[in-house]
Amino acid sequence: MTSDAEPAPVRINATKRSRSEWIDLAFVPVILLVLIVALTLLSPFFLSARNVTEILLQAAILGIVSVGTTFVIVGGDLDLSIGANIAVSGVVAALVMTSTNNNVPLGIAAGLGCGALIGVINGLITTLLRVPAFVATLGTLVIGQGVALTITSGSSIGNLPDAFGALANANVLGLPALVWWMFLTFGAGYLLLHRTVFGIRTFAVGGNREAARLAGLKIDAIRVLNFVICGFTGGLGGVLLAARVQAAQPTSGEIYTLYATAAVILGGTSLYGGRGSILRTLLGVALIALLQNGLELLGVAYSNQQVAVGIVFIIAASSELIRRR
Amino acid sequence: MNRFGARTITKTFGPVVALDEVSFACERGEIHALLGENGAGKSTLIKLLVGAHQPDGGTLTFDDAPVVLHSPQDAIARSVAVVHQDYHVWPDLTVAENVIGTLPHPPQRGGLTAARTMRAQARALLDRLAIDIDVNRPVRELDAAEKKFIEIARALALDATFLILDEPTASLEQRESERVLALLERLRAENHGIILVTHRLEEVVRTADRATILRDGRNAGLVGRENMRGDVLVEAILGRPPDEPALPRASSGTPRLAFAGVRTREGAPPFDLTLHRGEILGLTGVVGSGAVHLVRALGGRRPLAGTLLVDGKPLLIRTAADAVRAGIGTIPEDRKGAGLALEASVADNIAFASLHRVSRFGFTDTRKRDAIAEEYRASLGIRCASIHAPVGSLSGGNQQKVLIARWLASGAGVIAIEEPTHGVDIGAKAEIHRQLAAFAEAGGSVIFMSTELRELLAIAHRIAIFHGGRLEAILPHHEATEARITAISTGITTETAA
Repeated sequence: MTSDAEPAPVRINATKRSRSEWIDLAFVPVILLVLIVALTLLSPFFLSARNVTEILLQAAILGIVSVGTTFVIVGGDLDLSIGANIAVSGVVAALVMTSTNNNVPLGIAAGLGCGALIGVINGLITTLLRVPAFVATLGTLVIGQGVALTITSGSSIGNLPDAFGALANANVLGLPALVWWMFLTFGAGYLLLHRTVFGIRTFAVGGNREAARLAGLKIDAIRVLNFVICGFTGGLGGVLLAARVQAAQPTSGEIYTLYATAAVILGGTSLYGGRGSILRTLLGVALIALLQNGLELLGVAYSNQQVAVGIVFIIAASSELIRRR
Repeated sequence: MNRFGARTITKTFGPVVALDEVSFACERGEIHALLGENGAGKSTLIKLLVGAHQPDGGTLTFDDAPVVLHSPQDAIARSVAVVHQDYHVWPDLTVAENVIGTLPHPPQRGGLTAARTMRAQARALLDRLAIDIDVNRPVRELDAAEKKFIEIARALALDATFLILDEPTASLEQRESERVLALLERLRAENHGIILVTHRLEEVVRTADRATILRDGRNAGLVGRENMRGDVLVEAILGRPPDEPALPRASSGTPRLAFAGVRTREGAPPFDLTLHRGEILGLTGVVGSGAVHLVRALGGRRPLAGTLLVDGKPLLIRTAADAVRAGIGTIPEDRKGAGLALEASVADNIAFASLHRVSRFGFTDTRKRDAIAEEYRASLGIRCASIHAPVGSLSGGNQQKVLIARWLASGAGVIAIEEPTHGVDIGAKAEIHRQLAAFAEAGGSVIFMSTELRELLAIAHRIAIFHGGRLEAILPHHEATEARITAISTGITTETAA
């Protein structure tokens, strides 16, 4: 009896799942592949060593902050303040350096600390005051932009020391240090999210917050920590961005506000939390960087590049709908 | 600890006395059922037993000595764990991560998860429970019973001696329920104490050693193995003998609905099926049998493969609105997700399908709406603080009554329901059955899908049994028995469709 009754439903589920899962897994890699082939055919310059380095540099800051953003999103929250975080952290690092007679380590520490502090603030607002992360970080985004403008009086802080510039621009094994910082961040993020108990708990809190609470997990502490991780990557991004041009601009981080979240979602991490991976974020970042680079090579205006990124973002988000059906 | 329970425990919420000097004790090595209608105090007692609430009088007891549990974590530390009714699993984590990785102290090595140890521990635990699931699979791929297993395994990973299970089989098919019950029996043999909260009395009769019954927040009986019979339990729960609805008589003539050459899915053989005025037609079958297809198609949620005639005229249902226009009201199984606007009031939820009747020039006539709502509140016995209370604050049975009231108010001629009384207590269940019978008595037609045999036998004039996408048999009420339905729906016997 069982042999006759059981297999039918199982089989139905299996085919349904494998198809949608296939779409989910292959979606971004296929787009990436198509993009690479198309750009190689369209522009002989595309695969040149110089352009590849250029793409990596373009992707670096976005990659670093996207790693942090992945933690927050997997944990079921959002961080829209990341752009302002980059600006404020860079400016703080620069101000500390210029006012301490070019004390580079202190400047770097101040920038990173500032980023982490913004994370703490975001975390406390969302957990203690129970403000949804979307609203809380939208608020700190606006506040951060204001603070960056205020403490710099609206102008950029230039002439930062060469030792600071080397942090991003030194040549390490043929690539600028900035690119290595990105890879390092991805590696650390991968270990933390996918190979530690903290990572499992982050998935648990994002996947089913109530169940995590009843399982005795300290969900508020886990959420705050994820905001701090995200804030820290924002600080790192801000410091490295300032180091790259040896100047800190109060408006420098703006585009990362949405691009970081876009890269994470593009990669296929669920906006609702509980499902995703650092590897997927790497793919998402690669997609945005390639898209921008390709459009630049083809001479598309910057404003239209944004339109293109937005369209791809929406298509990618709809692929999640297909998957969830 | 060999005995866990509560002695003359009292709990009040404002003016409401939820529990009034209730006593209860579960021994190791027994399955102790905790029964009662919704509102009888079961949920409150569970919350007290796991330390989520503190009693106002009386005390919890370990081996008859008073004890205080300050929080669910405290209860876990004292070997008392609860498996909640909703699925508290993480679909995107693996089985091993669900069972072991989310524990307070999972195995670690050098700051990283000791993944191999974690998998080995999970596998050892599942082996002990004779559960055959690959620990590397993401939990989303498991079926409903397996997810329940994962939750139970997790509670055991917490070293629980006493396990409280809140409606573990409420959303499971019969076959899946059997697997869960078998696991509970195994845990009993391992000398765990099992506290089983359920509305499914046949499961209690089969597995429980004792049953404590609550009614209106008080002890209403302790039934031992020797008296464990359905009628005894029902009477203790209700405080009176149950009344069975009388079956109305179905009329002949042009059928209200006629399915012609319909298939449950591509490749399945086509069949015909009719629904008359005054008739209640039950559909049944295991998951994947296709039984639910017709009900969903009537609600416009699945395209119907075949022809549907309403009062002799063909009708194509593309959306839910098409169905409503044709006088077909549907009530999905997931009434919270797909049926009700939980934040909206009882009155609004009743009026949703008949807004044309309670509005003029686009404005709602609130007095008329409220009058209609009050009428159905009285006639269906909907228990709510007020018709303006959000429908989400009502119990499952009363929510179901609101949905039935919605279609009665809209003047629908056909009601199509999936699992009419899933997660509904037996008092409300009888009420819902009576209302469906009354609706049919008044000339309405009901088509419902149910996996509950007793429900099919209680209210259906005819029972259509599906197996593997095929309509295997249509049994008239007087020919249907539990054994026959089970045999046909599991494919043991096949009969030609009548």
